[in-house]
Amino acid sequence: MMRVSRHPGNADPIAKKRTLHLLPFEYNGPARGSREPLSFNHIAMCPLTRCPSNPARPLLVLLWVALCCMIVAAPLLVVHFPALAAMLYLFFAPICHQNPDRSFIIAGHALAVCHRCTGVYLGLLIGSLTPPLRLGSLSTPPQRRALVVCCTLPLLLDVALSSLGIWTNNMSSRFSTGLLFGAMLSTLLVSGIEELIDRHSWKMIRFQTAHVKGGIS
Amino acid sequence: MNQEGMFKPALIGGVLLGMLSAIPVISLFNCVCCAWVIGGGMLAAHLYVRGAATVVTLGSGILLGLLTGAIGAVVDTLFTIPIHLALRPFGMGFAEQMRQAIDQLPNVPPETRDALRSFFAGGRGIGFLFIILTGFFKLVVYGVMGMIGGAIGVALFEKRKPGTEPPVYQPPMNIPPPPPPPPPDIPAQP
Repeated sequence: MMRVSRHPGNADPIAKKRTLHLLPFEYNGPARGSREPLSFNHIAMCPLTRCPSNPARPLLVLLWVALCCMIVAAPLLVVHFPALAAMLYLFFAPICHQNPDRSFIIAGHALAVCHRCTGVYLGLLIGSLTPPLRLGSLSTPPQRRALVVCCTLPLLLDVALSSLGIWTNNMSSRFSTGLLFGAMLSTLLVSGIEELIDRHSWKMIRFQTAHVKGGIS
Repeated sequence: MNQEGMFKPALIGGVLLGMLSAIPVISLFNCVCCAWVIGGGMLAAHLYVRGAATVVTLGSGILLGLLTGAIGAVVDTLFTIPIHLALRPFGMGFAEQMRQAIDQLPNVPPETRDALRSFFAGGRGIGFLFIILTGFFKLVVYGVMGMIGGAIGVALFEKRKPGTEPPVYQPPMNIPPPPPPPPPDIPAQP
């Protein structure tokens, strides 16, 4: 495990106080065998971004990877494990129309969800894998609203214009609009869940500090 | 984060999305990316943002959406039972709908289809067991989709910038202690 700087200058104050058991990537606490006491100033750092890590992103990546694997596994299991494949198709049936004409084909069988939903789930995964950009894209409400509108409008237009008979959507348009929508959703979810975890860990630290130090904070 | 004020919007959004998701034909709208669930989360976020005194953050919206989705899943499951009991005489009960869903599944071999169909023909107990199991499944899916709806709702409806909320009254911290009471009059010793 790589040991990184203990006092990063760019860490925000809430992340500096994050508890040790919430840390997914790295822990830069006292070295093994040292007599230095464990404290909450030991901050976990993401090895890629060099900023305090938060478990929201890896947890969401795991969730979306699991969903994507289930989507792809359904047609692959049809031949050897048909009951399992049927269960996977049933799992996604309430949230997708599963029309084979509007689904990707793998090994001669349709995926468990349609083109658009495949794009949405893949977008959710890609959005979660993208390293955090410190460009302030979600820092103000107008920017956030613009992001939601810009990524949702193509999808709504694709559906609405096709329903009205003005435009005939195809595989590419369905998949790409779903991908854009999913990536936007992922950005919102990661930001929000990271914020939630920061707040929650802050409360946990206060509780634990009170427990350890006999009610100081 | 005012978590007490979240419950009322979550209850309104959750009950609405649960009822709409339980009604047989109207619930088909959920096939479009769980549209009722995302809509319920957005409605709850709109109500919460409208009534909140301070700026609502994305994290609050996600928590609100999670609560809305969970309430919606419970309401949906509770509404599903009487609706399917009422529709059973007309051949539209839960087992019949599951059989129809199995018939519409793509790529499933006939023998698997027959096995699943015979499983769902196992009587009333199977139907209720599956309603309960589906309820747990809905709790997870509606929770995730509700979070998405809450996040979209906050992103769309929260127009205030952070730091523009009205100042909150804080009582003064360093109040000087009250003066000690005057000593009681001691009678003079004779």
